[in-house]
Amino acid sequence: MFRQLPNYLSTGNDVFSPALNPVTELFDRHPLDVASYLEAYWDRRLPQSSFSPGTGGLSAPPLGHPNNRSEEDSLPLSRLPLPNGEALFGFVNRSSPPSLGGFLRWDHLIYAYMIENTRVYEIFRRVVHEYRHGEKLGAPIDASTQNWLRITEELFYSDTAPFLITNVASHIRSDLRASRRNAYQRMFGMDLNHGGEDGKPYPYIKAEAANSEFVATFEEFLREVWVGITYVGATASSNPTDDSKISELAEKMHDMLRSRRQSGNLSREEYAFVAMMSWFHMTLELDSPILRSLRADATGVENRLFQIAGRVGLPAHGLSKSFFDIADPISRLLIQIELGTYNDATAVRALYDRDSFPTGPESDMRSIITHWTAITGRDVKARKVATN
Amino acid sequence: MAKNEQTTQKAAGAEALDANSQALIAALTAAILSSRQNAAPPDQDATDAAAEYAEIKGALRTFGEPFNSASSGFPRRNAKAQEY
Repeated sequence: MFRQLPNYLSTGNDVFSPALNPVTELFDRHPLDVASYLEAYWDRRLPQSSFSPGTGGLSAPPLGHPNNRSEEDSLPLSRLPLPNGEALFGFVNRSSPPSLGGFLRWDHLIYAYMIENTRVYEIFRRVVHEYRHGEKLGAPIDASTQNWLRITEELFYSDTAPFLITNVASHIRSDLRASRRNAYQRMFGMDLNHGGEDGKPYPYIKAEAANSEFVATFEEFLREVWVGITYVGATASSNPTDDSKISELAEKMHDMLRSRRQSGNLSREEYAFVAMMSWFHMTLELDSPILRSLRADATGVENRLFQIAGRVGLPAHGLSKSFFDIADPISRLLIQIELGTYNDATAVRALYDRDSFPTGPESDMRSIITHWTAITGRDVKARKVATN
Repeated sequence: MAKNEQTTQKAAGAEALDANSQALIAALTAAILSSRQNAAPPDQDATDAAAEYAEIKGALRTFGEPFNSASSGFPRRNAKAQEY
């Protein structure tokens, strides 16, 4: 969410003019301004009265659909205005500039899962902890670093103010880390790859209704798509690509994921957790003030994370590069799977045929297959061996 | 001998194709080319799926990515490095 925000936040209402220029200006905003961005961004979700792609002018898709995630309202701009006359534009299509009539998407929950697996949340928790309790890391080098610490502490390590759309903590669910693990378990049947700081499994409530077959289904899907990628240009051999099986697996995942989203379930949690992880991801991608203070100036987000992890004595995941690299493409893919596009076997060729469908997901599929193999240790490129 | 000069030599004893053989090869080549040109267009459903994917990708374009980018799926990782 935060990584998309600079593309849509404008200084005025007429023509889009970037309000965050350079993008690092975001780190100098007041925490309440950042909260107002979160509210306004949610308010631009689909369906918009002025723009509803895919509905053909008919009624809105069912609640929980990627084009109708939730009907819960954020605070209106009249109650929590954007700062200094700024306006939040939206996306219309790839060939049109951002527009006030457009809409905004946020990443799929899988994005938050992948980013959090790098351990970035726990590492930055240590950073804030050290700066707030002493000078082990030195003093923040400037006011921008102080402001980054303030925003981060108030928005992502505190109980959020009530009535905000990102407030997903209460006396009922007071532990945000446990809440995220609960969401991951329900949606993907997976826990994070790390426990608490003491190395023990992190306690959280596991739901009975969870997509425990997601991983096996997804890996079978990746395996079949890889067969398609391998044989798409085959002329001198038989082609074992099975479009029907790919669509069947896609439909199975579609049904699983949408079942967890009935009536808008998990939409607010997804939004809050995706926003949280994108804040840390963006912090590592940019020349952000906290990186300057920590002298984390390596090339590549994973190497900067490793530098910070070394400073605070909490190791990042060794495969952080793969987690960062897979997060964006797998998010896009699961959104499209939830749209139900690949439930039809005649559509799945777009997944593996780049020559015929250059704007399709083939290159993303290659990236997902490569990094999924790396982070799980299970080679989805390997053919299954039949046993007698 | 020039650097890129064709050096392939006709094999000893090989003879040029007769007129019938040449006509046959020409006919086969024309048939192959024609079949490629008349091949059925990609499935409309797959075309729509690819377009839809590009729209999702466009809506989720992150800062620094060029507008209307139909680039590869590899994420930009070195925004900071590019600033230097």
